[in-house]
Amino acid sequence: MGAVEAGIAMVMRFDVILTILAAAAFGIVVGAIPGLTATMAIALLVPITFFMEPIPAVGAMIACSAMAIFAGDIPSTLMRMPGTPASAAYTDECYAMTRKGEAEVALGANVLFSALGGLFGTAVLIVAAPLLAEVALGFSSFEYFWLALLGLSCAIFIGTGAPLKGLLSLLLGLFFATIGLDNPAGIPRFTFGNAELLSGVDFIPAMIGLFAVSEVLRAMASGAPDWEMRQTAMRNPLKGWGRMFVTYWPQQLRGNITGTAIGILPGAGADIAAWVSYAMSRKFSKTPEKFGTGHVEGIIESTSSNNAALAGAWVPALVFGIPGDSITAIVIGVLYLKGLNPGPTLFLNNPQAIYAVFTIFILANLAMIPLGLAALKAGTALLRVPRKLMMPIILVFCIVGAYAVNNSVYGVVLMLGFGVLGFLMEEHGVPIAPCVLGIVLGKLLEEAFVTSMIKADGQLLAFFERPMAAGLGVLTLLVLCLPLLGRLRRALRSA
Amino acid sequence: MRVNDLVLAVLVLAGACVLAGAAWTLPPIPGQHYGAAVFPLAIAGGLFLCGVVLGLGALRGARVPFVTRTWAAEPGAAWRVAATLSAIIFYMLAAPSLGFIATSALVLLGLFLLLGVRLPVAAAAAGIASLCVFYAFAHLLRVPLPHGLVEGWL
Repeated sequence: MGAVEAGIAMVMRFDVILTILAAAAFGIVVGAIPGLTATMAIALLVPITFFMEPIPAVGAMIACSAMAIFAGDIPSTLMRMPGTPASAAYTDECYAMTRKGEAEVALGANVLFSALGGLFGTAVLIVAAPLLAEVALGFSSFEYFWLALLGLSCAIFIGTGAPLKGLLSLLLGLFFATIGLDNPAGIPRFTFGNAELLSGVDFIPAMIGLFAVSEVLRAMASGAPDWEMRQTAMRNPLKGWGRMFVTYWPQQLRGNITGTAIGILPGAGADIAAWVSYAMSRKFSKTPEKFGTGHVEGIIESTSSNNAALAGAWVPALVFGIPGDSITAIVIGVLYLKGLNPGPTLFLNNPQAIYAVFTIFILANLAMIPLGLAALKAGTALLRVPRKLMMPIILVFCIVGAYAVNNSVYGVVLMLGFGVLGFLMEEHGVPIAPCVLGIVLGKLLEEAFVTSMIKADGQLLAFFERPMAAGLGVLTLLVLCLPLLGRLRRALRSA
Repeated sequence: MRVNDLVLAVLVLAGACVLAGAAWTLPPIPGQHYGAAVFPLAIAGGLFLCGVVLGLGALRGARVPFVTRTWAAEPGAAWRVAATLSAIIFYMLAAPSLGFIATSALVLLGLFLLLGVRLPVAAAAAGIASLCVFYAFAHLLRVPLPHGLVEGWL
């Protein structure tokens, strides 16, 4: 029996399949609860995997993380509360579809394209794992700086408002990321002597505050009247899926490729992939004006992307034992515990285990379709609950979610502060999304920038000396300058 | 309630100056030109530019009143927003002694009544929702939610 057959046989056992399904259901529940991330779902699984054989343990983690990333889209669509940070990029778009009465269409797209994105990422993982990992390992601080800047420049175009206010929001986010001890000099920065602030501004309470609490405040201000729109039921999801698949295949493919590529880079995971893909979708769309009004195009591209990134993150994890994101960081620990030490030798000594992992990936993504459909049906039932009852309950969820991040009231304080900030920002037409991305990418950007500046002794040209850095740098500058050039051309033409 | 872009620009400019001032006081890494101050200074520079462009745009654009009453003009809206924020603060202060279930039920009951839900429905929904959230988070997900009177009986 060859390694491939052996690998498949290791998975096709009743106990393994049952474990995978149970972990998938667990992932859906945790992912759907705002404030609990896919990473947290995996972390909660670790103690349980101690009692499992290696293959079901790894299978449980893969299935759980894939489901959690998808399930994050459910509360994001229904309540404007991203269940996981990976859904934050297109939360507003999904919620706008809910307001139009198309919640099930948005969620249906999320299920299908999440599964397809995951399968694409898996295919790349199977075919190109060793080669691609090698490219990503060649990245230095210069490449990381450009990559982070590219992600941020995308953020400015995510918001539907004026780019200037998007930039303002982004700078605010970057400022919040500078708070704390985690900086190049390792000194307390902007902490005002507060011990809690030393650990910095936690991203999850900030996100819950900006997105969810601000929405609760707005609903409370208006007296939480019920939805005026009736939600259209998606009687035959397969029919809608066929049309979406045919109409939006380029977006889907682009999302898959971008997601996988970003997932492979160490440190950049599904969250960043979704942001970049949403911005790309808007940039290349024939109808960019529809973005932000409840248009499925951007959702398809970014939901494909974040699930593709999840599989992509396994490339450096399996080949070199370097985590592609926080989820694989935990999984690598479990792999070591189970004697499946990741690294090139795993491919030589235990190839059947690698093939078993690939099989689990395929199974998990296929299982996402029926499980996801069941979850979204249950989720849309939530919309029938009167909003006067829903909004206060969401507030309690927010409080508990913010508390659960570090089991401390500090999370709730952060959530409250960011809730008020988000409310005021939206009142003034300042988009929230770039601020969230600024908080996420700020540390990476600063570290890469200061390290590069020290290495280059202040010579800015060094940022373009390495071929890969030069390529990324030119791409970033193009993304930043294209809108300005377009405006200049229009001004010249009208003059 | 919203202020116009000119007021916003002044606030942003002031914020940029405060940030730059605070960043200057950060000590450098010994023997290096670039330390903890570089990045905040760059952000302050960006904010300053944003403020200038925003302010110039507001000066050139149509005259808008300094403060516009938007949602705050609706009867009771400001009161409901203030009550929601107070509910979060109440939770933070009361949960460690009262425990999660009692505090959450009080917060929910208050907000339900504020939104005009009838008392029996509000009381039942507040109790059930608090118990469900407690069970899901404290038992299934092992989040150490604060224990108080009610949790002791369970």
